[in-house]
Amino acid sequence: MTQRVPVTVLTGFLGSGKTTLLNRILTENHGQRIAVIENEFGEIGVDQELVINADEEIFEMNNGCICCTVRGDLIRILGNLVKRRDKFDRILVETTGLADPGPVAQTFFVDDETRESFDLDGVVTLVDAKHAELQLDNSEEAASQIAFADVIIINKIDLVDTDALDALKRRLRSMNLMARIEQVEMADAPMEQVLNVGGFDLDRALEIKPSFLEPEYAFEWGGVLRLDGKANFRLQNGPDPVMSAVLEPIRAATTEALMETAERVYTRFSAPGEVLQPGATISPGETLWTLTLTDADQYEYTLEADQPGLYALFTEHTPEEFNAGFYGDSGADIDVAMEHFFNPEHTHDDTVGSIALELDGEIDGTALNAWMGQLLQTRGPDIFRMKGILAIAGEERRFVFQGVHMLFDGQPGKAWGDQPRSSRLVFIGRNLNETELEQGLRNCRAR
Amino acid sequence: MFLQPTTGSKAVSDHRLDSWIVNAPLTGVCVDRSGQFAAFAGGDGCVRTVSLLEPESSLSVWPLTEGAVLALAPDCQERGFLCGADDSALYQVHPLDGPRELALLTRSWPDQLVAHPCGLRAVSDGPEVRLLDTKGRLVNVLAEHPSTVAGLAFDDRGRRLAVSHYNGVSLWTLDGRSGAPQRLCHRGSHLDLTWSRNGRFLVTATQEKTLHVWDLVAGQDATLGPCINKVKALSWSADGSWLLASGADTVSGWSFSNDRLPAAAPHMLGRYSEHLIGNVCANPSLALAAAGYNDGGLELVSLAVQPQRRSLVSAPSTPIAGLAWSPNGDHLLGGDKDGRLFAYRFDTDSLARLACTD
Repeated sequence: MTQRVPVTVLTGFLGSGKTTLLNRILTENHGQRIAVIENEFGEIGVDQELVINADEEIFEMNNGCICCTVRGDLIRILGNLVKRRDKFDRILVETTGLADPGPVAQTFFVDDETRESFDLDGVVTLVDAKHAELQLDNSEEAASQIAFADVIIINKIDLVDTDALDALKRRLRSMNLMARIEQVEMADAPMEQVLNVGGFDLDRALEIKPSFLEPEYAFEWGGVLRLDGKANFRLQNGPDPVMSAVLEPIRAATTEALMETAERVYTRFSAPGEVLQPGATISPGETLWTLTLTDADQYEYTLEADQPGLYALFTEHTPEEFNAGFYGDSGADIDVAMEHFFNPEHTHDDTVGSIALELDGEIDGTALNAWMGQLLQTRGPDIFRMKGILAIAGEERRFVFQGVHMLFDGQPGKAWGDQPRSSRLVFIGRNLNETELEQGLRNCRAR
Repeated sequence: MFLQPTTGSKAVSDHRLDSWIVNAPLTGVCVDRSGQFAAFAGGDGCVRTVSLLEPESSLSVWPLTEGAVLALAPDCQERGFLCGADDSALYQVHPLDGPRELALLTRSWPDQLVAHPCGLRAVSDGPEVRLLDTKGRLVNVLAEHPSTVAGLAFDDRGRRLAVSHYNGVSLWTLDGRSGAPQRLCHRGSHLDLTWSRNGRFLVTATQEKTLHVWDLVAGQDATLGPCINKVKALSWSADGSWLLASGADTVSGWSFSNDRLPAAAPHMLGRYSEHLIGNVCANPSLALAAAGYNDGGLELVSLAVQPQRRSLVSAPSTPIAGLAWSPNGDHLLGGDKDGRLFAYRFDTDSLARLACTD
């Protein structure tokens, strides 16, 4: 069997710089023969490569199931490219700014002949740093382009400040936990960022980094304090009768160190906290502390570390909201050496989002089949993409899968060996219900 | 520039086989209306023609484009072929004089084309169909179909042109008066299409691995199949009573003998194989068909009740990419995806014995 030709789908909001990026890729000295299938209205000015106009002709298979909506024009064009003796090394498919990438991706799973000769490598979505937020607020297609992406390239970052860029990154991350996010100016993304993505490659699904499963920041504030013995954390009533907090050693009082530490601790905020009453001690370490803040006007907690040094305190809300401060035993103020305000979760009401699930132990294969079958049947149109690594009871090897809407593709992966068995799943979709999904997965736990 | 074909010729008791290795996947094959010349379209942008009258004749190579020849059909004239290539040009290829460009398309590749001996040529250009006369002049543009045209077929007399696209077929009456086509609607993507010999039935192959048939007299339609694969080849038996299709692990046939819509499930007419049939082509004068398997196997299958078969290839390897009979049914042309082309010349009595029921 001949090698399948990789296909990269390039989507992007209007004005995001797709054409610039395409032109740059094509003129780069990469030694590859690339064919570009672009939408009718594109303006590619490269003549050494084959550029084919497509009409984005979508049709529904299986009596109109949205999950089987495919691009007939792509089937036809790719079918004609296969006839050539001189094959291309790679195909780039550019969609219009308003296109939903779903039908393009599904084409590679639904049509046998297309699948036989071509391999969907990945969906790359280009966004314009300055206008992305507004486009995401106003366009469902923009949201689905983010949801489908394996790589999100934020372009024109020189036109926005760091805070705006951070906010955008957080928003994109909350919508799509799986995608790699790159930042560029003038669409100058290196080719290796765009090509060889392996987004639908089950062998590479094993490379899913655990970090992509972690939740968004569940704390709004982080500050660095020098602790030498004890310190008092004094709070008044605020917007919430309880507040979670974590204390963690930190290597320096810098933003960089604080962000690093934040990455390290933020999974702790998803675990159940240990409830503390006023007067109790908050010590550094793995524990998530839940401070009780009811039935009084003022509350005092003690921060205490065995080793003197720099510590970072992360709190669910900002200290200002509780009129809080830090004091030494003498009653003198302790200065916060540096602080950072984290954007809380759900700053935007995006209906498109990602949900990551993790379950230790093994899963019952039959129960999983029944659950997934039912889930895809009822929620298939809302689930854009999913990926996972599963520990199926009685199987020596990991089971890896990926899916696009109702189309599903899975195979055994690496053996577990001595490693503890656990399953990880990511869903990206619209109006996903985390509790329902979590419950569904838990019900599949092997007994 | 182009590899010199290596020519081989073999004479057996009841047939002669000529074969050539051309190092280019076969993208189309047909015999012209005179029955004198065959043409092979290649994925190297060349059309190769060969005379069927002279034994051991060599291929003439006609380069058209750097890319691939996408479509090939007998031209409207006695001699020659109509070709579409991925340089967007429509060509007429004369087996002795070579190619001539008839038109350059603006919207798409000319991957659907057909000609009728009444002197009309039709070629798709995206959602439009261009009609050209014998001299190559544009006589009409049939617009605007709901999507890119995926199949074209003239009826037997050349009075109607059927055009397949998303959600059905448009039926144009070519009487010189402009007007809207009759729309035959059925959801989904309709691809290849074919008329029954009497012009009563129109059948499309669909993306859904089924066939869809319209009875234009009774005003009914039905879905046939499904098959295992998408149907890539449709062919009517010599007497018009069977429609044969590729796409299964044996030759699928639907009976149209009583002028009614056939049952959805096909009759299985060939040998069952673990390899699917990628090509099937009915002999135009005898009740038999040639079937090309995706493993490169090639068989002659009788369409009688108790089918007799004969295998033509002893060591199959590469999928058969195209098959065509000469108009009188004594030559079978074809080739595979690796570029092995073949031309069988059969002894007609021997073929008739294979087709015969008793």
